[in-house]
Amino acid sequence: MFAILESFTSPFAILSAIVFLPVLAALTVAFMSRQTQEETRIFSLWITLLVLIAVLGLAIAGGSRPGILSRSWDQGRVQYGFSVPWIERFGIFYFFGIDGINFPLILLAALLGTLAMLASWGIRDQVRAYCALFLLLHGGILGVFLALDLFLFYIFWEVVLLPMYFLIGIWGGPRKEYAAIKFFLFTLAGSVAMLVAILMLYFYSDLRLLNEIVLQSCFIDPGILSHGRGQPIHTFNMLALAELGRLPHSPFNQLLWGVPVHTWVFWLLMFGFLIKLPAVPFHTWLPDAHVEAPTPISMLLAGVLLKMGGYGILRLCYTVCPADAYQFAWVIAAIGLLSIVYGAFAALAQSDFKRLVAYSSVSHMGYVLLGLAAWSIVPGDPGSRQYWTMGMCGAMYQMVAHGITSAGMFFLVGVVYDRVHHRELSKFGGLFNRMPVYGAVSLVIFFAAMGLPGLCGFIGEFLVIMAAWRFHPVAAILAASVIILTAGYILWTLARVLLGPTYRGPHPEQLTDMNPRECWVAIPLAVMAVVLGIYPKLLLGFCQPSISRTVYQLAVWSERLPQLSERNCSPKTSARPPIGQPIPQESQTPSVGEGPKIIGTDHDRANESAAVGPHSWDLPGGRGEKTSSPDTSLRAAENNTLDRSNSTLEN
Amino acid sequence: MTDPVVAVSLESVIDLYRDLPGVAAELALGGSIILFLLLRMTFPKWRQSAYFAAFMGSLLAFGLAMGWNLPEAREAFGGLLIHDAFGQFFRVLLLGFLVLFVIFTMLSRFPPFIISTEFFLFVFSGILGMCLMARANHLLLVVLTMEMASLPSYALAGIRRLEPRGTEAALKFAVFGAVSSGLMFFGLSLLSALTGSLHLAGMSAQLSERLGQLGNHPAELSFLAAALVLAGAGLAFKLSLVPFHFWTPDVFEGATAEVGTFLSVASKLAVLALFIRLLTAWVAPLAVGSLNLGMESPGPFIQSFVTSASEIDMAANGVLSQKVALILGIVGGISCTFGNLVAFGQTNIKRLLAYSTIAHGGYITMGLAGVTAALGAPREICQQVLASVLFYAIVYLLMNLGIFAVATFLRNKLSTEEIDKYRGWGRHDPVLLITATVFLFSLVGLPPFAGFIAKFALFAALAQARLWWLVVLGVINTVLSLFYYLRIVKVLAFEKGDFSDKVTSDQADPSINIFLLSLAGMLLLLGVWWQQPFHWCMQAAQSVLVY
Repeated sequence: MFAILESFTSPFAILSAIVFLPVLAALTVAFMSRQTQEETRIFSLWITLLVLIAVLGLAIAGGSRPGILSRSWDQGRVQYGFSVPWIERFGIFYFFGIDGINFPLILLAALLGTLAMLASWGIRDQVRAYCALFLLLHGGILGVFLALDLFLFYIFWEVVLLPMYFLIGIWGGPRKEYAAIKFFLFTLAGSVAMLVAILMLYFYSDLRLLNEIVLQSCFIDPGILSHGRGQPIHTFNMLALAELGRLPHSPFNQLLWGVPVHTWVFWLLMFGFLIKLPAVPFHTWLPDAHVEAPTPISMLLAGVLLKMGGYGILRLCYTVCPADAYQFAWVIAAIGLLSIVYGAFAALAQSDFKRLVAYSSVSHMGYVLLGLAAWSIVPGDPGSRQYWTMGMCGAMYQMVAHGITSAGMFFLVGVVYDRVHHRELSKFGGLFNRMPVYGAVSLVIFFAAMGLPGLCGFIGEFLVIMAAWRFHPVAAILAASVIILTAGYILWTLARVLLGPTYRGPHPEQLTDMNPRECWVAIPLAVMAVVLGIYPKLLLGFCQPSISRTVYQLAVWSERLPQLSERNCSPKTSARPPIGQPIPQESQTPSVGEGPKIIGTDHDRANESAAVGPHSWDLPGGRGEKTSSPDTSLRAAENNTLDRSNSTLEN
Repeated sequence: MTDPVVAVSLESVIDLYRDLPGVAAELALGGSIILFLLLRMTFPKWRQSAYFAAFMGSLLAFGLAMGWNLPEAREAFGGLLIHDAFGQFFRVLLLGFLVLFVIFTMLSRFPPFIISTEFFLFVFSGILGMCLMARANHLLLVVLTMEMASLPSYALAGIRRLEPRGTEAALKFAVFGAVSSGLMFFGLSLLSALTGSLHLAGMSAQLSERLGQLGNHPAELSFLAAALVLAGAGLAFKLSLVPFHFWTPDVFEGATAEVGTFLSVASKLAVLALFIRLLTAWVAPLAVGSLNLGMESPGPFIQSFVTSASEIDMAANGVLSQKVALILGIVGGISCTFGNLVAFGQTNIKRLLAYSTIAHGGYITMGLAGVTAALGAPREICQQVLASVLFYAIVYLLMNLGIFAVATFLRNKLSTEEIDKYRGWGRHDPVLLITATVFLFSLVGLPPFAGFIAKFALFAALAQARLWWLVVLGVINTVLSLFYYLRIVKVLAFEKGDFSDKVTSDQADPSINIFLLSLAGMLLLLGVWWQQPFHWCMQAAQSVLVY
């Protein structure tokens, strides 16, 4: 009896259900009767709600603290997951897992999936096909965030394209065919680049370089090492690839056409993710796709699909290829800044309401890129790490906040479009008088997008700008000054739509206030915008441990930069002290014992050592004599820093 | 080594009895052919039963092939044939295709009763030739089966005698085919003159034996190169690779879609089998034996194999076999790119599929380049590379049959082959739309369909063979191909058309839907569950790599 119950609550059952329940439901919907439109919608809504409940259940199951079934959430490791062999010959595993990097996005996807389904009542044509494709899309998105096997990740990544193409192409606006194929072509171009990178990672990886404890922390059975017969054991495991990427003598340092493999991988992956994000100059598919897509699909596209790009950069590019993340930090930051500035200016120039929101997405996602890129670890200075932690947390926060505000904005655009069938900003005005609830919700969500303190947009942008200052003051000044532009286009938009004496466009008689169903979509988003604005720990509690851990690992990695710099790294920004300088002595004075809770006092030794990873230093050819001292000092320093950054972030 | 055909001894006559079960399926095909002839000549009134006879015959042959308990790899019929897992793999594939093809023709009602016996006669004799081709172990049989497979194809292309375009297609096909066969046979005779043998294993042994001296005789070396190029040209024609592709679009457009299916799937598979056999017989010795080709001290090179056992060291590999790999890669890459680019502008669905066939021939040839490059590598790697190509062949069979079936059923319903005329038909026939989407997405190579797995395995194989430039070319081609494949989906699904006259007149046939759905289901299944099929491919690959 308990065994059965246990098997239903195992990670395998729950995580698989989260992804495949919508997929199975999509099949069911496809076989439903043609006449049951309303029932089909309600059924689909229930499915998305069930998924949301399951995800929320995971979020609160930890009791008073945010955490998933265990208090070791603070360690930031992937701890709720499973890995089952799928194709053994290629080392492909059916591997799902949750940590602080993907869990906020899973929450976001589950929430927006439900709200977008609720917003889909306006679709009256071919409802069955719509619901089936929608559910397929929903399952695919959740799969992208949950998958920790690179092959599985790629499959879900592409599976998302398929329903999206049809959802834009069939239910879209006048130029739907153009928009759909453009979306598909851009994304496919990015994802085949990813495929090449994935193959490179696979064929250059070798699990034999990792020890058993690291393997276990990556959900790999160490017994696999005995099957190698002297051949390299390749892997698609994202966690293991990240461990390999940080090794002193990483297999990815080999040269291919004169360039290290990790550099190829970094840029190929980056290309795919930058298209998805999207960053200028790869953003041109976004306005077209958004303008043509139906409202709920725009919500998902802006709210969740774009985050796949940011997630990929955080999960793959930066962890697997730290050398390039370090070396090209200024390039990525520059692309981020370009997106911020260009997106804001382009948004100012738009006369189409939806296009304006689309360009604001480009601008806002630029902050994500800037936050991720703001590499401010100074080798030897543990205090410098908190700034990058801030930047990464800010990027994460910005992703979720943008998910909420952009989905809200697209929905609000959709509400008026449903009524008056146009989106010309110049023909609006006076909606506040005619639609008071709509006006109030709009104010909250648009102000949140603008970054008004007390609303969710502010936290992310603030953290990013803080980190950017440490990275390079010019970046921070630029990013901060664009907020003025943002305020400009948002306030101007609100003025043109809501304020003014009266509505001058067509169909004035249709302008009624939001109906209860629409309120159910918009008000939760507005509430979330406020809650996340005044209580950021709600989200940071989830993501910060994992992000701190990632940054910490990269900091450990960067301790080796003096050696690396001789080969392929060179200082690019003035904010960084010259590399090659010996590590400052004071950082090596250990103060173990002061740090109370973050890195294991009462947890098992395996976790601790896997997280800190002295074992990965003990490799043949590794620098054995250097392992112990920076390690202990860093660990001690880590505790201090995390405490400090915790308090910084909470206050 | 003596020529086995000459050295027929008493034992080989006794062996005949032992070898017969291995060709039971071929005998069943032969029996069906005789039955068709009888039906045509003696009992013309019973012609209607040709469909039934074809179905039963194909099923019987398939069952016999599946049921045959494969013994250890050995030569049969005095060395003419070889019974091994590789031949068995392609035989089962071809006969499985035959069963599906017969069902498909029954559903599409193409060969009208009046010509049904001829149609199946040609199809069955073509398949018979192909099955033998996949197991040919002797140049005599290679030549014979090439013609056995080609001649019925020429006739099939022109089976609609009153259709001028069909006749033109058949004529073009026959002339091109004859020239290319001539080229190929010239190459084969050069090779046999060089090695003094017609037996593939014998030629292989001769080549590796004389390889050491080849370096000292540039004339002989160029002789060998010319022979390989000529033989390769003949095979390239059959695989419709650039620059031997000119016949393909015209023949596909002129012939009926059913014949197009046959040409696009069955003959490609059989030629692929022969290609791999010849590659492993002729080029493998060049790769493996090259350690003593003009190299003074093989020590370090052998050393490098041992130390970097998993990696293919280009420098240590055979110079000649690397050149072959390069040529194959270039031809494959050009075919692929050319096919995908020219398909952009096509308005006729059969022409579009012809260019798609050229492109997929290109992908397969890229895979063969990978195999060639990997020939000198440790066996496990070479086996995996070859298995990927074989896996591609399985998936290619299913998806190409599927998309040709869709084109055929569309022609039956709308009586047109212009893509633009299909505008909005997807609304009236959702099953056709869904399955067409599956086939097309699979052809592009998108997950979760088997086409993705095939492409993934192929690119992984190329990466394993360290042909990264081909990987890059392959993925670029994937993006190029997206546009024209999706155009069909777009026309079917996104646009609106008026079919008020057609919808009422033609009732939907549930068996057609079942056929399409089961093909699509197989593609989906193979996209998720491919451990075991890939294992079969590995077994087949293992048996052919005998160096």
